[in-house]
Amino acid sequence: MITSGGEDIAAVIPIGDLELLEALENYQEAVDEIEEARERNDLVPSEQLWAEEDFGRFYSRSVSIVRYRVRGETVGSFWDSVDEGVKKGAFREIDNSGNGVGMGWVSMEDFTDRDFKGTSYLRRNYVALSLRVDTIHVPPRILEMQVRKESAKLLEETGRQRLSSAQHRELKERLKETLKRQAFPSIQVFDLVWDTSKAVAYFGSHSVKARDRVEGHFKKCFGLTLVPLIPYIRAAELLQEKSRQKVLEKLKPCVMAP
Amino acid sequence: MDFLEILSEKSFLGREFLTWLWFKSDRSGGRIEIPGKKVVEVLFLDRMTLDLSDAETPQTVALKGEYSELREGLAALREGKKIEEARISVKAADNDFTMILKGTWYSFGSLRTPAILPVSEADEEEPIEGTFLEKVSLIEESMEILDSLFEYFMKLRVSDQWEMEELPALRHWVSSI
Repeated sequence: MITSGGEDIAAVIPIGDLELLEALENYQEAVDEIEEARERNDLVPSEQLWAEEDFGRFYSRSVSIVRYRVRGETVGSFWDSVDEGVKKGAFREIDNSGNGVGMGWVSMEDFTDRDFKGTSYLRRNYVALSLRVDTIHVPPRILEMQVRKESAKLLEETGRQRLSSAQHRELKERLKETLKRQAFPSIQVFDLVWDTSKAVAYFGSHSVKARDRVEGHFKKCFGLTLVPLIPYIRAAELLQEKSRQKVLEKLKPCVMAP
Repeated sequence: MDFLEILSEKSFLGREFLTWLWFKSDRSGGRIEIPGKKVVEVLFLDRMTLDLSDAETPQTVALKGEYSELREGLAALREGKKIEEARISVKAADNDFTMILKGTWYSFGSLRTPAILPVSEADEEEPIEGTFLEKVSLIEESMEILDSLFEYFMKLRVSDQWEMEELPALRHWVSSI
């Protein structure tokens, strides 16, 4: 039994975050499985595509899924509106400074493909997309180190005792931009499968940030709202009779302990 | 109610569902019969967390280990905690699925479906689409199984049978082991 004061290794991981533990174990397992399959030469095409480094995505053996109800109406023809939304929201760099920061839809099979030739995102009634998010993070200690070094140099050159806070801020911003140009972006890819016949979407991450991003981007592109199918919302859908739904609305937690 | 109100005021439903699911699974050797529908095999595997989130000061307990160690969770249930997430396996027909089911969001972590079979000859022209559709259908199958259990629970939960039979039986189970 592990409690917050326990000594088991699991206790160093935030209590409740079983998934992190699970992911660490699954990772090695998945790498082993892929390696064995590769030796046997029996990887199916999709696994060959995803085997390299996309563990945790839709096609991998182990995947995290948040379900959404897709609510709202599109304007005009549904499929024209979907196509327009995909192309309009395709991956692009957000700033043009060459920092490599950007966001948008890419092909589920190839995160460098943002053109979606024809309707390559369409699989029968499903729209298969990935949300690519490129970010650059400058490690704070590296930035601090550079700021100290440059400050010392400036002070020596000018013979002054200290920099004003405005100068310090300006120096820090300038160095941050310089460091950003030297760093590689971190590229994250999250899969989204939209079943247009059931108005449901499956998103491949529990991360709050990733969910906020996909919910916002989806709304912007398609004009539709992604509503997480949390227990109460799913229950209201499953309990079709009005009398049951009325009881559901008033339901309070019950005591399960004896 | 807006979404955030629902999330804070009604999230107990997910924890109650998971706790009830453990009770049903434990009492019937893993076989849960959904009236008029089907039999679903549900097993609680090696991990779960329980919490007192309905209380003012949340307290969480995480359990990891074999079946006998998970039974320590019953002590936590006796303290009034409910299951927030658990690693379970479910099976309704031929396919076995394992996942970490999360109570508050009714979402699925580390969902494992059976391996995708090699692309059949009929799909050779569109191997990507064939594999995609197979994977999606497996994911949907696992969610349909969970939904059928959740619907069973919810129908009981909003009925008179809940207070009269199901809840007393659950409390008895919690106290008897």
